[in-house]
Amino acid sequence: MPAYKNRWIAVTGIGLALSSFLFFFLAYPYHLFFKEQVQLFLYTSGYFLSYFSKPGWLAAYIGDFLTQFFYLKGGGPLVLSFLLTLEWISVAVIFKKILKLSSAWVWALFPVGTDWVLHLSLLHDLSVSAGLLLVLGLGVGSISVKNRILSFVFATLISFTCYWLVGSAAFVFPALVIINDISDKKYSFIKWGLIASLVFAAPIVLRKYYLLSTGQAFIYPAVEPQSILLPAVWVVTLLAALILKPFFNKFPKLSGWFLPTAFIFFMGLGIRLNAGFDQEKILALDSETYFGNPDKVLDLAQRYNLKNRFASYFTNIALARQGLLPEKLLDFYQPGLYGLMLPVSPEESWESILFSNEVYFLVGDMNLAQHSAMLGNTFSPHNRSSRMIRRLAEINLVNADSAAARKYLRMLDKTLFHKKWAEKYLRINPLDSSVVWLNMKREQIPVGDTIYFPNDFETSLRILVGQNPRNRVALDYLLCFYLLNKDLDSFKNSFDRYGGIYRQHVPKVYAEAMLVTLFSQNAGPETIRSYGIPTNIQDDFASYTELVARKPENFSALPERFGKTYWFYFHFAKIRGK
Amino acid sequence: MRKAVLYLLSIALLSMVACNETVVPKTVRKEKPVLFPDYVGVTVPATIAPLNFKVQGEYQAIDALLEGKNNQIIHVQDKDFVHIDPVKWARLLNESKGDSLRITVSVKQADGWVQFAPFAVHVSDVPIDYGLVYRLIAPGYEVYSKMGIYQRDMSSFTQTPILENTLIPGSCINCHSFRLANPDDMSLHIRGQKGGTILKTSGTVKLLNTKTKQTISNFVYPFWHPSGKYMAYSVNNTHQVFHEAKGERVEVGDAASDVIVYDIAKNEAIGSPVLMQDSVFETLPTFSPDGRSLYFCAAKAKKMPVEYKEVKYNLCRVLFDPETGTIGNTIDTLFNATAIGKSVAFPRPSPDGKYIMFTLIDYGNFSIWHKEADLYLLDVRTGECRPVSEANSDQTESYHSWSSNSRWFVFSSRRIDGLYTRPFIAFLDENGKAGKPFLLPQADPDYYERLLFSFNVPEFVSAPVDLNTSTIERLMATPGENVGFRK
Repeated sequence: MPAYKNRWIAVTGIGLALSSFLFFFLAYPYHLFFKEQVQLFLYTSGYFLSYFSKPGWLAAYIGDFLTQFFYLKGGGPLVLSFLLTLEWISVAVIFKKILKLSSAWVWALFPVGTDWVLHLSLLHDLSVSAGLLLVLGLGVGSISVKNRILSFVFATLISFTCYWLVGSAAFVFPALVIINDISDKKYSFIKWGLIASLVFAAPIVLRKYYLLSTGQAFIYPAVEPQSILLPAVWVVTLLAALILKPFFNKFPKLSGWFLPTAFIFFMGLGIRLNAGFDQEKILALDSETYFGNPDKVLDLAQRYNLKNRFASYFTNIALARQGLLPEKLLDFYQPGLYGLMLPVSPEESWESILFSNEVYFLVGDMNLAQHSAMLGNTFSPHNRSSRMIRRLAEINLVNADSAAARKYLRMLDKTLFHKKWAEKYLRINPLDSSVVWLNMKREQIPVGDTIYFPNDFETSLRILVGQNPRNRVALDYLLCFYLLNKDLDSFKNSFDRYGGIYRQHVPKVYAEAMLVTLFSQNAGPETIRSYGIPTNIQDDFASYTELVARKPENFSALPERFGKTYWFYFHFAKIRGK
Repeated sequence: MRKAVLYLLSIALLSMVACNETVVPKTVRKEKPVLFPDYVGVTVPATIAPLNFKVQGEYQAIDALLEGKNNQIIHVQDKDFVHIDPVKWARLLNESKGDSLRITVSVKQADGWVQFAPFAVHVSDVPIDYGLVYRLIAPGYEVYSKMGIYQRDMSSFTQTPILENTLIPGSCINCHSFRLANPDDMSLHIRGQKGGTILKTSGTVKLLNTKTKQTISNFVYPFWHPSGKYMAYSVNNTHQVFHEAKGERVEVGDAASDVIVYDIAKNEAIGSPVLMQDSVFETLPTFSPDGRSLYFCAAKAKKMPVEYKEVKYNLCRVLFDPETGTIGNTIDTLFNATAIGKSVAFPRPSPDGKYIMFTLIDYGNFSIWHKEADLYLLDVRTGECRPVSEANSDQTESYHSWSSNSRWFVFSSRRIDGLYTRPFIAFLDENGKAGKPFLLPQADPDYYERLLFSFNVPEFVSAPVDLNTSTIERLMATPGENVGFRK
């Protein structure tokens, strides 16, 4: 092989490794972190044995093992970059071995690019990539056996066990063997028929044992059907290379520019179609909320300026943590109730259910927090989530349910990256009053009891505030709940009843809302003064009403000056559903 | 099965490389060890799987000497917990039937071995059924993602799935029920977009669409008539609500409920005015072992959920004629829980007809989130009722089921962590006194700690359940047979 070609191969390999690392590090870090958060990899024999209950146990175990490193900053991009490069080398070696193609290293980019694009989805697991790598390894082993009988026996054995080991990636194996035989002009229809039927019959026969539907059996261990594109594109690429080989041999220069161009087009299209850059922003807000960085959440929310209920949800949590909810609520997009809380129901996405516990934990409704954390765990793609287990441990510590807290903490103690956290929390004596955060959370918990329907956020908040008016976060959520629903009577009643802490200084949004209420009630100056509403807000309100009192054509001037006031929201905002 | 084989292989491999150390105790304690699971002084059947256990607390190694009748001895030494060889264990139990095992446990601490006082495990010569069937589900919430119904051979650690909802995505599988522990007669519900009641009777499997114009819902809580010709079901308009107090968490209550009897041959629900009263919540029906009485829970209807704490169920009975399928007109109250400010749930008559075991709670019938829930035993002959203190704990004891010979009962309890229900099994002697219950043994004692699912509705079965999943899938593609209604 000419030296310049070797150089190009090295440049491609390094380029692939670097570009994939940089892409996932710079453009997709929160997706990868989130993937770790929705799995729980335990170092126990029982956990390992649990993989045998479904097909593709080896691929799934390796995939999940590697996914745990997504917890580390840069860990996800590094693992993915390594896997994609390894995949590219393996595919190139096999293409070269089977087709004797000098451009095998370019052809190999197509399946690898497919995997890259697929990894843009939250539901495309490393188990699929691991499965492909494993089956390619088995394939190389199989086609390296030159003895006809041994090759037959070896291929049959692999076909027999392949699905058990790697799941749906097994479908690559017969294609690899058949195309290799065709390329070598070794036609053995019995062997082909046997290995193909063994591999394709496995999901049909074994799905009853594994208790999977037909569709699931053909994609397992993948979660979503589009993951099957990886083995499919691999086979199609191999076939295309086989068919086009004579053509590119005849016009070698054509392959030199056509294949890279096709690949770049293919990647561009794939990323455009499959990348969730808005979702990445949501996950950034989610992760920074999880890390306890409200400043960063607000900074990101301002930069992103998303019109999205999840963005509002995390922004409001950050505002509430900083005590700024009644000051800056309307500085951000507010879709109504569902920007304050996320309902837990079968109609919601699993991500939404996973996010939903955060606000309940914040305001101190430990029962609803536990409800949504448990469902978040159960609804996550593999029914186990390290983040939800951490939250459940916290909830049970707050509730002083030590045995339940210990259960969760001891699970986390068997992980690689949550171990330290678990050890720290295991050292906490639930009865120790010196643990500040525990005491603060416990003060929020109501002592009396009543019941309410699921997702009844208002009742939950009313009870929390009713029993502990010093629970300022719950109070702000309750008042903002009424304001966003334009229920000014309930707002005023609750403010009058529980809002004593705001008598010295009425926050901006509450002051604006109170003026609307008082105005509609024809309240006198004495009453208005009793609320201590700043004069500049009163002046602004006068200007606003004057402007609104004029003709509608002047309304276009309103957003610029009053777009972030409650008056504008009250008059013009449409409350959105889910 | 494969799990068990792998597990045994790994144990065998470990035992080959491990070297037992002679235990010379530096300290001999007078007290018995605190084990997990707590097997100190329990009564077990002679066919139970090995009682693998660990001692609570830190140690470097554990040693156990198990001595039975006829000089049968097992010596185990390990790092984490006591793994008992299943073959030797089976031999030990078989030889020691009707007697006790003497178990001496020592743990190795930094400064040497500490030996605890020996304790006994009583080996009953009264047999127990082949296995248990239960549902594994995340604790008690209204939406579902992953769940399944599993069977467990009690003489080994083998758990096999009967049905998982991965097979019917988005569905909820619940309320499995067997006639007298017979796996050939089975009923279970599948809820979801595609749903219905699966009824398996001596070789045939049907899917029933159980909502009728005259009943308020699909069939819910089931119980088989001993003849196999009928089933009793409740029909319930159920809601889930949340408590604000941290101790109770979730409540499930009926805004309305009735009881019907389903005639299997005629595919008809039999309704009766006495079991379908608007002013009464009737639920959780069961038949007496002679098939001539229908027990159920009944409470005065209240406005739900406002008056949920005032809903108190009594244990009631109405006569049933199996020859004609006729329900009597008079309701007897067998246990007046209202009089003591309590409420009855899950009445379960023993197959020999001597007792009715039920759960007693402060209000309602959703006992699983009630910490005060305890098991009670009603002597049918004398009418005396007592708490089963030998089995109860300060945490929830809820669903329970009898073995087919009435001498063992399995019940779900939250005594381990207060959150996840686990199956406990207890012996009942001829005088109605229960032995100390034991937790269903697992190969690894830490199994329960790492399991994020509750054991729901544990039921005994006399043989393995054989439910053809292809048949279930085929049936789920059909609308199911509509159930009729007669009065």
